[in-house]
Amino acid sequence: MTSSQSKKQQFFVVDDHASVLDGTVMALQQTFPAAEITTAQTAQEARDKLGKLRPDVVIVDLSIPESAGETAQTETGIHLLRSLLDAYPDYNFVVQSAYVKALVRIKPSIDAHQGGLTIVDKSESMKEMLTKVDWALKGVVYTPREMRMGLEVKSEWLRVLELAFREGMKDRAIAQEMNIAERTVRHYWTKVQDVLGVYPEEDKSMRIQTELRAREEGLID
Amino acid sequence: MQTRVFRWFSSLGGGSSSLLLGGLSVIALVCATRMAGVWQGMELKTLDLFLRRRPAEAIDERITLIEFTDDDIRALETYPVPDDVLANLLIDLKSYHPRVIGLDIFRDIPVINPLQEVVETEPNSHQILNDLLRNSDDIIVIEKVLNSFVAAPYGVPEENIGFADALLDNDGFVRRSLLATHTHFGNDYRFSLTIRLAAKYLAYEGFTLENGIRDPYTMRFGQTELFRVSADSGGYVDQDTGENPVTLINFRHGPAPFRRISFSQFQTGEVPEEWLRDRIIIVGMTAASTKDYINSAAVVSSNPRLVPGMVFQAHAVSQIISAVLDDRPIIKTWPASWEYLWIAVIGLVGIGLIHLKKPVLATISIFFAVGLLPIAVSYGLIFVGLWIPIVPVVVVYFLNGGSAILYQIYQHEQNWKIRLNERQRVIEQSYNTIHNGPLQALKSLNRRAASGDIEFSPETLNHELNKIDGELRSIYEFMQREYLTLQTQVYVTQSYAINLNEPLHELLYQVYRNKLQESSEFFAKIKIKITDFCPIDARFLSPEDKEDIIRFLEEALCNIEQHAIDITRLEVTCKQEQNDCIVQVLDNGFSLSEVMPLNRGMRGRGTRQAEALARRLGGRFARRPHSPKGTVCWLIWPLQPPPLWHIWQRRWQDFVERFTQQKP
Repeated sequence: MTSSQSKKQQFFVVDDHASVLDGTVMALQQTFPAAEITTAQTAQEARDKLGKLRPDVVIVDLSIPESAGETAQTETGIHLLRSLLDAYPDYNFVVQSAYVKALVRIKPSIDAHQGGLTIVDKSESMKEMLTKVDWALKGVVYTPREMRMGLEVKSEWLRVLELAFREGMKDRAIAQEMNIAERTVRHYWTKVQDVLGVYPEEDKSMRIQTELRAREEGLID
Repeated sequence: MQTRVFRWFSSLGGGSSSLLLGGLSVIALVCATRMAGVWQGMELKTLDLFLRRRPAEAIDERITLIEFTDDDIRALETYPVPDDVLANLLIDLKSYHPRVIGLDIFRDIPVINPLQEVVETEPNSHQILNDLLRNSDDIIVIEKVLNSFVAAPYGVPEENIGFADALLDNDGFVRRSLLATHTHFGNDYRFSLTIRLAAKYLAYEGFTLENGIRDPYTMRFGQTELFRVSADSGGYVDQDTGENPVTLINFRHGPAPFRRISFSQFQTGEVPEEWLRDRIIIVGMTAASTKDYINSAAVVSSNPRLVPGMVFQAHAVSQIISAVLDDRPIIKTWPASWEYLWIAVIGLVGIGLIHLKKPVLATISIFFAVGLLPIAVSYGLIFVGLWIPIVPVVVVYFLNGGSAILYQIYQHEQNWKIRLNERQRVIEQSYNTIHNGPLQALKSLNRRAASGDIEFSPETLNHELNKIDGELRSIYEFMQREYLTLQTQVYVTQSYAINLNEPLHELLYQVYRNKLQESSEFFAKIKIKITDFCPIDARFLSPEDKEDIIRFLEEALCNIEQHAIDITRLEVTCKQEQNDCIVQVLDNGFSLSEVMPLNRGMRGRGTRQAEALARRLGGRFARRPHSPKGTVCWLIWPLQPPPLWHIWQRRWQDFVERFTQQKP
């Protein structure tokens, strides 16, 4: 995020497999040499440690045990993620899972989350993972296609599109018009962009991409 | 009032109307059989038991009994006790100045002492006794007035005569004391020995015998009204007592409630003067050979259940005097309406046990613990002199509570069986899936590797492995679904199952999603789906409520599929707004129902269910056209649960509606 240069970055990684954890940490360290990385191996540990940190990104594996010695379950990860999303609505999250469809259940919480949130299928390469970490740090929302049901939007997001592309308003004006904070408007943008499949790309303006895709899908006339 | 009671009833059966109906029938049946007298015998026996199981009371100093025992009769060498012996005894007793003497021995005809010489000229012994009785204001003699008549000694004034009849219950036991009665013999209104003795004694304390104030048919000393039992009081059914004053006897409990002195003890002068002075003295027979006994199970007696008549008289007199002077309780009963209400309430408590959602053992323990309560209460009330129904209460409680618990156990068992079968099915199906899919693929790979297949390139291997990977993943998906059905609170449809313990908005989202996937052909054509699933406070919702809300959303989506055409926009909202929760489905299609409006009589099952749900939650439901086009369907309910009576009222309306709609 914006503070990444001025302050030392803090990463928080939750994964129960020691080897996977090491691999992830190593890759992260190489890409973000300045980052300070904290790890946790159980849901309980994650909750405890997060209470004392303020990480720039939280990387969570869904298949984790509740506490040491218990078996890892997707169910536990889902409950942990739901509680973390509720407790830290503006943190950036990267969710790793071998079975991303399981996340459909907490889609309402994911939709309501205001920070960056990207979801990575575990079968994807490490490079993909690092990209998603980068996106999350930028506040981007990314959900895999199989989690979505066509164009599923919220009325507020549509309103932002309308005000921006039909009335030509800037974010600040939209915020005033809708009587919300400017950062909420930005948060709505990331949601709409995820729905429309618009993600950061070199040399491309996300706003213009969004407008093109929105017109293509008929979200604005 | 009537409908309020019904409202309450309809919530009692815990969803099982047959259990509720059965329970109400049991209450009605027990009340009816009680009126018919089926429980009378057991009720009376229980009263005896309770009276017998009280702690011992102190000896009643006010009453002293002079008894003729078998030994005394042997010593006299004659029976009946001759007139001269009685006359001498009474003269001696009078010299101690007792307040009153009750002679509980019939003396309507002379009894000449065969051992004494008869001297014709002098007044004979019978005349001496008769003169004594006629002229002593402090001696009460007895007569018999019920069924057959035995006269009092000749010439004794009316106010010194009391009848000695005992009022037998159907089982031959005596529990009541008849204080006065109309008779067919001679003077028509007669007083008992009991009341005569009590009145004489209490007159010294300044009390006079008067009619009752609250109940004019009974008797009263000062403030103390002697509670009158009528034909159907307490456990009694249809006892013909006329309107005579009859009291229940609160037997003085203890191994020796009264001082008893045998005739020979008195003769030898072993008796302290203070045992006689200012007392009530009852003279009578306790010799077993004289058979002056009554049956009572409420009194501790050396000969079980047999109590000498004079002792019984002493109990009856003692309870009146103690009530007036010591405030010792007189046994009262409730009005019949209260008694039946009490039976009904406990019967309803029994039915209410269906709401105990506890493990079987705990339920059974609670069942017995709660069952002991009414027993303890009725036992405790005996101490303050109140006799309330106990046997019918225990019967309704154990029948209703027992069936409620059996019903629960049965359901538990069924549930368990279903789950066991389900588990077995999951295991088999999982194995089949693995066997038919990945295992076969692995086998074929193995075979091809072994046969040195030339087309066995890395690409093929990769493809095959991906296939196996996909198949194994689908097993997880399947198991996940099946696992949920093994848990207790799930909502199951043909294609999926969800755990009702999850937050409501997530459940609704899953339902929405599943519905859209199920009918993907239709819903994929809808371009824009606007969803807003926000957390809802569902603390006050039962699993059944949640299930119904889920069904409501499903139904609403189904309706769109069935009735709407040309939809481009679907809006599904589930959120909390101030103090209300709302689930709303809005489309912009052209509704078929606009062409063919449904009238109220033809409303679908879904609509009726939704209306019933809205009523139960204290909320509202609507489905109507939305301008400019489309249909809106919503369910709103308040966050706070409506007051209980409100829910009952709604449930009652549901019940009535269901009932009326079953008829053509």
